[in-house]
Amino acid sequence: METVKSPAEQRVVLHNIGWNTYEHLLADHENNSAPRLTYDRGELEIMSPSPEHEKFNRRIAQLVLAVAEELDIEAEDLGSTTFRREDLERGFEPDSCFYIQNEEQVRDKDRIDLAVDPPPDLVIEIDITSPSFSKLPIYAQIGVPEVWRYDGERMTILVLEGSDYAETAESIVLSPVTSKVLTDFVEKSKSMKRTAWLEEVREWSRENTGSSN
Amino acid sequence: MESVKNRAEQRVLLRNISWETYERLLDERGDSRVPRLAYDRGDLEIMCPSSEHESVAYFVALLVAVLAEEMHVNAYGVGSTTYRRGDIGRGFEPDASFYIRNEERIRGKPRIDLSVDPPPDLVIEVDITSPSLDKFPIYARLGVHEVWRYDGTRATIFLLEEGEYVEAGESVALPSLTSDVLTLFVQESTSLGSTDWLRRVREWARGNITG
Repeated sequence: METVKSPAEQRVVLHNIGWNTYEHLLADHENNSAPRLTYDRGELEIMSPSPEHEKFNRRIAQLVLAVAEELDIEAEDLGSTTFRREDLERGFEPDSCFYIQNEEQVRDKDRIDLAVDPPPDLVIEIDITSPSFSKLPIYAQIGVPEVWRYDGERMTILVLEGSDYAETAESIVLSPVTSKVLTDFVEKSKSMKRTAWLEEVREWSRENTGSSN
Repeated sequence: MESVKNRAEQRVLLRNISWETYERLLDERGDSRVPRLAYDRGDLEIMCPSSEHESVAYFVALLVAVLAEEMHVNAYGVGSTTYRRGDIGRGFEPDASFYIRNEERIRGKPRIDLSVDPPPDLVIEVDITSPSLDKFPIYARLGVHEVWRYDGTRATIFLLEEGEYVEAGESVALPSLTSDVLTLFVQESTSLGSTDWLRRVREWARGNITG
């Protein structure tokens, strides 16, 4: 019956939602990575990703792990773990996230508690359609140093400077990756076989090790 | 970024949601008509309608008002009222709903409480995209006699028969209205101006309603 193509994400937003209700929702749907909940002082976005959204997300996560491995850097993939700070009334569940510089601090942890643990070093956000509200202020408040955002066409690297994100050409947490290299690889992932694509990512990493400066 | 968003609804489905969490969400969202929540024993669908979705719901509600008037029948529109029954773990918020046969019992009530009040006689459901939660079993359990559903191309009239909805030749709530006529009027609502459209609906009613 359906003649309308489903968008890459389904999003709904609820207003005036209390922190306790947000916590009830998180508790009820614990261990589900989708839909993903984002909370900012009463505003609650619930986003359901499409297979297209998840495909980009997984490829980018694989790229992070492959590059880190070739550069001999530890990167722990914590997927869509829930991060929340009741004192700030903010919380989010990223498409993917990684502990890189702080990997050792969370290595033996079963749960992340932002009251004592650091935030992830890198967050991946896929927005094929416009988000209901920007999540950058939440990431900034929680102190995420770097965000990679993909809008369906372009990858952008955003680095936390003070309390705002600034777009930069080159990643800090995973140097020497650049937004151009990321955009090119994601574009290639649309047509290439996964294994061949991953091999190309690895080759690029080996060629660029230590040559970032 | 994509532009399809405009035509379609936005829907998300959450699983394993407790009745308590569902009620909290309803309370905190308050009297806003959007987003609309449907709940069936742990499954919670939250739906944000598009403007096309809302427009169809509006014109169908207008049609109900005009036909009821021409038939000298009272129709009490209660819009997207929340209908819920904690005892059976189900609830929904239709795109539009009406009390017709039970109009007198509901007229003027500030709130509907299904533990004492009857369910609506007619529910309108617009689905430009496939729902993530089938609401028909909820309507059936709550005892809604008649459902009109528009799927983006066609409107269909369903009647509750022995716990299941079956496609009906014509409406019981507003007799002589068929799915074809309803479909035609929904389609015309996008091309005609509202005054011409209303006139057409009224003319049809005068020409086709017996008695």
